[in-house]
Amino acid sequence: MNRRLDPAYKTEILYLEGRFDVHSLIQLRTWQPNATMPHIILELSQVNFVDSAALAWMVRLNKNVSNIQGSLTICGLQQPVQIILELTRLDRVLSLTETLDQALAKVGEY
Amino acid sequence: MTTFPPSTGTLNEYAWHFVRAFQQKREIREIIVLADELARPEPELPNQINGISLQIQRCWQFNRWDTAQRLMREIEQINPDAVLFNLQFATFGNRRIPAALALLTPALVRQKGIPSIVLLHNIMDTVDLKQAGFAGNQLINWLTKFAGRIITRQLLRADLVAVTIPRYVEILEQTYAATNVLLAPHGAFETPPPPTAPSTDCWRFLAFGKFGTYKKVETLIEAFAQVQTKHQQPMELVIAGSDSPNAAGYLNTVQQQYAHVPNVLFTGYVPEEAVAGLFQSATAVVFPYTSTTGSSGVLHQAGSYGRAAILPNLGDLADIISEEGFDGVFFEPENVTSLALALEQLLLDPARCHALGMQNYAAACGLPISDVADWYLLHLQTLLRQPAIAPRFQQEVL
Repeated sequence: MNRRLDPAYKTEILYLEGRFDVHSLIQLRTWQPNATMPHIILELSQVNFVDSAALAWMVRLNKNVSNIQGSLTICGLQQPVQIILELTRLDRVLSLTETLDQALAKVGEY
Repeated sequence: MTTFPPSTGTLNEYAWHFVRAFQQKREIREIIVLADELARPEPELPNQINGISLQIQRCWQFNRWDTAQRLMREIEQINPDAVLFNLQFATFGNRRIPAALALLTPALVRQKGIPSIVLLHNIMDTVDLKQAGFAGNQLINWLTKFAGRIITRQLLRADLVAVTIPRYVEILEQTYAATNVLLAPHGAFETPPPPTAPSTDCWRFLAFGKFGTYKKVETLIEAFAQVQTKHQQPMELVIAGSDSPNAAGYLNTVQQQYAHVPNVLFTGYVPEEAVAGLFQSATAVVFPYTSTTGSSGVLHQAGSYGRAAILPNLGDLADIISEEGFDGVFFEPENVTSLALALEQLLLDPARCHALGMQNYAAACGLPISDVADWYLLHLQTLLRQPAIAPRFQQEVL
């Protein structure tokens, strides 16, 4: 996982790759969103699989950032990931965009 | 709306853990459980945790014709923000008409404009009626399936219908053109402490659940008897749990039928506080299922305690196992030889038994039911933000 801060948007961008599952969550265990960068963008263009543990982590993250007046935007979904989000209807309740630029524009609206 | 302990109705244990998970969510002000009435008066289990108020109203009964009416009366009186149904097709009865009538409740709730989610643990399209205790002649089975489709359509009138198996989403979308179905994970009941190593002094195979419909133990006992005659190691088969409400007297009959097989222990109903000890005392957990079952709470429990699983080669269960990271030794359902081989595989390879247990432990740690509750809350919050939707009178009936 790589991270990039965008202070202008008070945004932290997390770049994930490969399988995003219960095992890859281990590297996120110590990471938490914080009030100085309350907006989070998950950039998933290099992710080809997400499991239910990863989806649950996104749901939890969405809740956590709401608690600090922030937002979660997920961008760059590959088709298998898009299908899983549709199957779980999380595509209807989480904020999704096609590209990172669109995600940043969306953050700008908050 | 659910069965709820100390009632022993199916899904009671899931409900217990699910409600406890919701009780820890700050977004919720109050939870009211519309539970099944108890056969005889018993105190409610201690359930006040973390300050969120929980009321248990026992207001419906298995196999009663007026369940929907009684539930609606309660719901109208409470006027909740949302109703979450924890259901499977036989939740309300093993007699077709009372069971079917009660399953209309989510549609009635929807008509009242109260947001509703149905967590549907199985779907009629994949239920083997004979295995589920609804067997009749072919005409009756056809009529039951036909009625099942009508009831499924009615259940789909809820705002959202959550299922735990991807194939169920596909079936409901393709067969019923449903657009309100979602896949939701089952979740693990507890945040499991590190598992204890299974005992190998006495190999203890555990089968746990409510037996008699699609969970049958005859094949298991016969397979265990075969393994026991071939190997000298001390071993025991523990059949823990009670009869399914749809198969009263089943375990007594089996116990008498196989009284000649030594080292088979029938525990009867296992109270919540004894469940941990039961799983910790087991070497491996066997799933003597004969047909589709939806996701398995028992598999999650086996994983929580780091126990290997011996599983039937059934499509739905196999889906869940691979998607949620569980693994086990597989056997062909209702095949004594195949199950005996599976038992032997673990018996002869304690290292593999341990490794499978640890893999299941990792899978069970992956997604606690508390996270699943967040998942439902997110969907509920989205529903609550939507403007009230007019009843779907225009939806086709069949």
